[in-house]
Amino acid sequence: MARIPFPITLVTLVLILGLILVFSLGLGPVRISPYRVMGALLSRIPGMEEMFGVESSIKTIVWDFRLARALLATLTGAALAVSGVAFQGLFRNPLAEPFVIGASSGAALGATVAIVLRLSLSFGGFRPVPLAAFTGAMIAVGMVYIISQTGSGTPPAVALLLAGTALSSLFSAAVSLIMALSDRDLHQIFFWILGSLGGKSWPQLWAMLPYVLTSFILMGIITRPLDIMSFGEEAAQGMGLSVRNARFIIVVSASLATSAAVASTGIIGFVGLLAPHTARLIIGPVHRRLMPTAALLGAILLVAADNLARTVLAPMELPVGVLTAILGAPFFLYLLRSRQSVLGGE
Amino acid sequence: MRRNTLFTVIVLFLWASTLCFAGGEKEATGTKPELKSSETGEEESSLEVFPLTVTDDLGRKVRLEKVPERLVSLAPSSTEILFAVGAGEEVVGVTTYCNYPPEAKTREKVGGFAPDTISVEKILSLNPGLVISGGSFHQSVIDTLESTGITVYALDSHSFEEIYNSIETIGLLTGHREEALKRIQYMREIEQKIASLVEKIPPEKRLKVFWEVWDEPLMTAGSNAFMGQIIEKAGGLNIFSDLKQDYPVISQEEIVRRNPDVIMGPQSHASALNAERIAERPGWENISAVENGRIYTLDDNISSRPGPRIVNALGLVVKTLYPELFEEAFGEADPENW
Repeated sequence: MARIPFPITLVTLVLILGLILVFSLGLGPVRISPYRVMGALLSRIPGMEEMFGVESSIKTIVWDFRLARALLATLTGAALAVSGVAFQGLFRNPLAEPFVIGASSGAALGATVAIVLRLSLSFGGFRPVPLAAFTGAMIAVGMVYIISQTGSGTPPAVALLLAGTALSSLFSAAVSLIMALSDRDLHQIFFWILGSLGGKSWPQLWAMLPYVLTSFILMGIITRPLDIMSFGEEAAQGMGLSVRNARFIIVVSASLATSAAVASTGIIGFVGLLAPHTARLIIGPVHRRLMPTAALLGAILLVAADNLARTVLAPMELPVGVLTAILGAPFFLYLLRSRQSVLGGE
Repeated sequence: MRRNTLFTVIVLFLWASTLCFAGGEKEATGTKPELKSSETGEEESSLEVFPLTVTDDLGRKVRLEKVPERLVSLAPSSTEILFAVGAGEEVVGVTTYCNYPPEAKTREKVGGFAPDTISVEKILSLNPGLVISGGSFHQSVIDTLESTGITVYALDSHSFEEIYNSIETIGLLTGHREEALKRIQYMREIEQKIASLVEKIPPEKRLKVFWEVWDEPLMTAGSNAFMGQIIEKAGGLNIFSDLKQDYPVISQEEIVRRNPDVIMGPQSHASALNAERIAERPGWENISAVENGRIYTLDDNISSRPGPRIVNALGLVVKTLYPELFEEAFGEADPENW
């Protein structure tokens, strides 16, 4: 299949993302006309506060809720997508997702503990529950890495995968245990785990931004090693790549992004699978191009899904993680049937 | 996948706790004792009604040959009812959540709230004449107990009327009918006094109330949930009374748009539900409740249990919303001690 040139793909995706972001500002349980959306946006520019005569509640809704939330969805979608790319490349396994080495179960355990104990510690913009979730995710991933990578030589990447699976099971069991013992907090834990952008605003965005940006920079460094590693780890070693070091940077960058995302929004599944595979289909397997394409696709997917999540049952909200799976799974199955070679990692 | 198993477990628990704590969309099976002697005016000892057969809230026929001497309660609300009708002496087993009245804490613990945490063995060892369980989410425990020959009565109340009925039935079943009827009359008097009190509040003076169950994500109480009913009975306007779900997740912009005069929530949520923390939420500064500092928490042990203290919860909400009106009618009274 003839591929669209990379620059055109990139520009097109940026335009789509821009459009959908603008669109989402007007969309929601409260109806706001495009003119008033514009007025509300401009009203925070000094000197233009009163120019459009928009009520303060509309300004709040557009700025603090919709804009902040759409940007949070953008960042989270992109973070999950690039983490998916990184882990799929590292494990040379198309089923690897951002949570594969324990970030989600670690975050869930952290959040559960914070909810049950009603912790009130906050740090660096993270409120108590997200802070505990972030810490839990980083501890889980760190443990998995240390357990699987100690010993002489370079242990195979699959050790990481297995340790991640085992530790995830352990942490999930701990979450179940805590829930069984403190059954009155079930609602909160349940909805936290489902993953949602509801009720989020600027603080959540600022809290996750530094980690995600750091991760994006690291991702830029590892695109080349990821390409080399696609020939297999032994071959990569033969080509002079320090597989051990490369693997460490990949794990750090993917985990930073995943942990920050999961801490801010809870567990949102499928974006980390769907965006990378669609990107691979559009732009091919070279990571230098794959990373930004997947990031944009992930952002578009999550912003779109979140628009649905907050409007279909308004004023109620749906957990966006449920929608990404409902929308994502059929599309993924379609890809699986029609493009098996692509999903097989070529 | 591991996570999916976890989800299933959570969904089951969640569903269960919803059924128990407050009204669901499911039809209430009405607690209608088949014997209604008080209306006939006959002065008969409640002992004389045995053996008796009643239908419980799950539609099961429950037959008792004689007054049960040993009682086990599987929910904090049932424990409160048992003590309120004067059957406290006979209660031998309770759950770890049963903390009211304080005396209840001295009884043997048979488990927590979810069916999986309840020890049937422990219940058997207490040799109860009657076990008061929760609704259908306790089904597995009910089945097991029944198969060992233990009599179980399932209680599942979703409204004030259903609570009155359940108190009367528990009184009947435990041989404390007179006390139960007295208690109900006392509760009805309070409810009526409050009803006639808030009736006087003109529609435009009624306060719009946002009940925040939780902040991550934002959850509130719909019109069927207990708290939704209590807010309305207290003369408040629940801003999400259009939602029929018990604890819907709702969108932040709707809260700002509906602009509540008062924000209330359970005490257990107090670490996030206070003026200082709410001020940190972007965009909330324009909400009238936040501007006027009208943010309150309420003891969940009182407000979330479908038992004798619902009138206390009602009184607390009235006192919080309309302090002057409350003082006019009740003086310095603290509804917590009613």
